[in-house]
Amino acid sequence: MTLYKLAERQKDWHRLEQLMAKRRSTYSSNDAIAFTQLYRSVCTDLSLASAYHVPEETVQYLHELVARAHNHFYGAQKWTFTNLRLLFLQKIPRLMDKNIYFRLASAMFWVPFLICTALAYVDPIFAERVLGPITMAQINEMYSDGFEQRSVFAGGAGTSFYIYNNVSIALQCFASGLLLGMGTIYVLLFNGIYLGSVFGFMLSGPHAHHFGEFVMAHGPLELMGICVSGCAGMRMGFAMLITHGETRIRSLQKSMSEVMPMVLLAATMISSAAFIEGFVSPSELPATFKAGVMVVSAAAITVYLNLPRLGVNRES
Amino acid sequence: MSEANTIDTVFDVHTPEYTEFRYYRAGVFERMFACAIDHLIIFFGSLIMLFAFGLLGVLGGDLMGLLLSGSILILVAIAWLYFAVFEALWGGRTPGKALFKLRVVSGEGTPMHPTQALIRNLLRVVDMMPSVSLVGSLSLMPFYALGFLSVFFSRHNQRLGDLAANTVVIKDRTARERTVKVPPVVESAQLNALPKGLVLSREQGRALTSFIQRREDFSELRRDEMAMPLAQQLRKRYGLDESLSFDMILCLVYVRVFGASS
Repeated sequence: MTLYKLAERQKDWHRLEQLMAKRRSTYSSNDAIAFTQLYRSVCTDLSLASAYHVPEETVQYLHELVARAHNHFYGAQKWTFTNLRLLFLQKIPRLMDKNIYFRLASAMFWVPFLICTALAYVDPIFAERVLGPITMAQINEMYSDGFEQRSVFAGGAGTSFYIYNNVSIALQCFASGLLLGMGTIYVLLFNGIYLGSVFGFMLSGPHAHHFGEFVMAHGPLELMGICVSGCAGMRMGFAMLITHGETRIRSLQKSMSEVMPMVLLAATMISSAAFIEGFVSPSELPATFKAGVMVVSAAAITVYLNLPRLGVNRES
Repeated sequence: MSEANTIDTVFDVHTPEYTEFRYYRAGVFERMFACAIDHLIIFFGSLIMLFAFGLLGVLGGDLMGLLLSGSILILVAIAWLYFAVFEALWGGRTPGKALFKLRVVSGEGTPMHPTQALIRNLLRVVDMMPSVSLVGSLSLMPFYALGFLSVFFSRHNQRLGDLAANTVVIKDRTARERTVKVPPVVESAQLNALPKGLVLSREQGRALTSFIQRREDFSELRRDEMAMPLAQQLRKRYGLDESLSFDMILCLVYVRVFGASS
């Protein structure tokens, strides 16, 4: 290929550029045919250019042109809503069903949680050792007033802070699994111990009534959300340890097709919990309503995670 | 991928059309600045939003609690979704990346899938480690120590989130129009003095083409000076007329070598 020929080829490059300036959805069939032909010819130009004496600048230009045309042609896949329905009703429940990581994560959260709840309930000194006197005083203070007397501003700011914290903890529980799963295990154990102690301490104290009323509406979604998030984190982290013959990074990348649906479920649960925590829990709605929310959400989680066993979506 | 490509921070993509084109990977410092700008936008954006909600709350009276709950939910969403939403909807760019002309593409060189944007940005907290809280735990000062190390040592300058999502951050160069230049018409008498089957070595050919492309950027004297080393060799080899300028010799040879087939 010579410069004389290149100068001719430039007309094609310009035509391709003009076509790429248009959005793909507005292409006529002629445009589409022209685009594919031009793209292929520019690909050829580039492969020849690298082999012949073509000026370095032109080679670079061609690299960029091919890159843009390649992206224009192949584009990115998008999410669709039919996929989303399939994902939530079939793929996710099947993934969670009998999932070893979900069982592990749940155990790592609930076992320390229940033990510490019991210990802190029986023995205030245990709670003090875990939480420290300052935190204990703060928590006590927070629930000392009922929902009617508490100044709306203080209540709002307090819950706001906890919502922010809770969502962050749950998502970090997943993300820190990237450290070979160790981060997730730490977050699960830590929060099991910490939250368990808070529960035991508050339930044994004088403000047990207020505490219970505040926590119950968003509790199930929030705590199970942490477990699902932990399941995703451990699945991701252990993909780097149990590689099935792939490289560690490739194994990690492949695990994402299972991990992301789990994260999606966790995020749905946690954001629902945050919503309830923001608008229902601190409100003056009657305690029976909040208890109703708790029962309904707990039942929903149980049914959802057992969908495959209920035979609802059995493939025919 | 050759060793030279590693040094030149080049990222080669093989297309199904059996060609190969290249992206230039973004370096760690460009990414740091882009990232810092995004974090500043998040920080000040959240601050302004809190302020606006605060004002509304004062006016709203009884609705204060509701407004605060609402604002905190939005804050959480901004903190966790700012990067992912921008990258998913804006071709792999965030305002910070756009400012530094960076873009995220998938490891295959195609635009990335929204899921990949989510993966790399949900895992961002790990790259941010260690984060130090400044005011309560609401505002974190990220240090990106893990991300920095990962970008520094991984093959395609990928942070941990990139490795998991199989994405690469590249320099988003929009190609500049480059016209291919053809040397001026030369007299055929002198052209015919050159042998027909004239063959140049690869290096000579490359030197010749890059000279022809750039010769118009220089003054006549400078042109001759640059043409001299190659032109002297060629003049001796083919016994060309002494009166020809070095510049003219190269033009002649160029047309002889490459022009014939056109």
